[in-house]
Amino acid sequence: MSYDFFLTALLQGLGYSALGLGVFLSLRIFNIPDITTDGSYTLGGAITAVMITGGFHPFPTMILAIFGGMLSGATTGWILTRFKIHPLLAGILVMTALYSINLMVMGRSNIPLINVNDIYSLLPFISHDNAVKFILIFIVVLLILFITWLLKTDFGIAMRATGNSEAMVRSLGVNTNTMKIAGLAIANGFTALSGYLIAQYQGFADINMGIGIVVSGLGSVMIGEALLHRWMSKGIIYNVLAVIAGSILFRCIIAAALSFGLNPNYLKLITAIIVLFIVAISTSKKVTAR
Amino acid sequence: MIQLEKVSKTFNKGLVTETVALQNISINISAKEFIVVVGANGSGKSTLLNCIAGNILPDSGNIYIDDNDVTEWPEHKRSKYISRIFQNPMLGTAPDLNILENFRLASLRTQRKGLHIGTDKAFTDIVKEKISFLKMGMENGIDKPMGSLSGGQRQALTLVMGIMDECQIMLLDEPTAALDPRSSVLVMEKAQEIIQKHNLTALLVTHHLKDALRYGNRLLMMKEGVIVEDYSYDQKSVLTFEELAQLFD
Repeated sequence: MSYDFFLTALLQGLGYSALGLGVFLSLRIFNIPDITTDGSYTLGGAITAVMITGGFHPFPTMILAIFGGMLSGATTGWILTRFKIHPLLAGILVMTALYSINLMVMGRSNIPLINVNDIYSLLPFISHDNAVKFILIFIVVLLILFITWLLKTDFGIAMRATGNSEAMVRSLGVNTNTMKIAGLAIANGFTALSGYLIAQYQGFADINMGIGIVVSGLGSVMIGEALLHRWMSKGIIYNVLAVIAGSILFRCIIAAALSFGLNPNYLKLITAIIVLFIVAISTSKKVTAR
Repeated sequence: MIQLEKVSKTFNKGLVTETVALQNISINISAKEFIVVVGANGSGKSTLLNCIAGNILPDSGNIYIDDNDVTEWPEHKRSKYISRIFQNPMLGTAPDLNILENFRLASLRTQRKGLHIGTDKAFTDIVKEKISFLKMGMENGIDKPMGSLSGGQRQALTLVMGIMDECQIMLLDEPTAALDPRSSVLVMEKAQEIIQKHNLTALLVTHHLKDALRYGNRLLMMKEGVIVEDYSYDQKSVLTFEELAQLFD
């Protein structure tokens, strides 16, 4: 296990941070298990691949990718509030529909991104490796600033309260349906941003890149919470930082597993087991605490 | 202030579990009236309150608040007039948010919750001052999560949260049912004080007959979805505990 090895995991972790934050928003802030994630992540990558290979600048590409994710999330939110069905079902419906939509967007199942002008080639005066580090760190810092600001605003407080005490929020003049739609839109916008960053980082977009990705997001959030438990800290900023730390750590664990010679075909199995393991630890802690 | 015209509500219509909660209820509530509603379980008093609040829509009849026909208004729209105190102190507050954030939301009950950070120093001072009215010392810990407080503390804070924004009607649904006797007295005293001080129109649903006699200036008794007794302040003040208790038989 070399330095490079963990550097890769670190960078991937940064790229997946937006995904972790998306899952954090839907699952922890809104209390909604949202698996639109699998579809909106791929959609982010699909839009990115099509636009970048089409010669578009990475910035409008990023905006459109995020917008695509937000639209997916808003659709799930609309379905679950309009028809009052279980969030999981709403998410499955949209995720399934997105598979076809993603194929439609891409036109084929895989688009390589080689020798293109992507976001990591925006800093030609430093080496490519350094540009990747710099840009990923820069975007993650922006995300941290944005989400901590958002959750402190009056709108953000209403969002947090919606997942926490819905009856109270409604009695305080908040349309909780609108809140859920907006919240899932923002969450999936984050997720699509991850699809955007990772597609360019790994150099391709694939129709299957999102399968099971929601579990990675869950893993990041839960590792983050386990860390937070150690630090005994409170406050939104700590929660957000913990998710990002969780995302990086999660990638390191995966990288370590692969470096021990694990067959990459078993990756999803290992991912699921790791997340189960983390869940088991955190619940057994609660039991002993009682 | 509030008029109900022939309001009816039946739950689970057509099923074996069909329950008639309200039958043709008509009532006129004037401004600044403090009405206490008593009745056995299932008599429809909570449904009455919920119909006014808007989280239950009636099957038939009309509801007017401040001369507006609000029958079809959803709860969040009616909240511009109404603040609610729930039976379960957990429902009236967001446990994971701190006291300050809970108050921030309450202070925007009739306003838009925009992209503005409103929990600044000036707002913090206002909240501290409002909470100090309770004389419970909670103004010194407004960054504590609501969930860390006792039921009595939370319910007392909910009362103050109710008047953080302009408010004309306060609906209290058994606000002390989950509290110990000492907290109950405290919460009821503070509620009375707040209702009088801010000239609110109030409805209190309670099972405590002593509270029903002690507070408010009009008393309604409900039975099987109908208002069977309606005592004015004068009639209520000569009513005894025994007489009231007998009405339940």
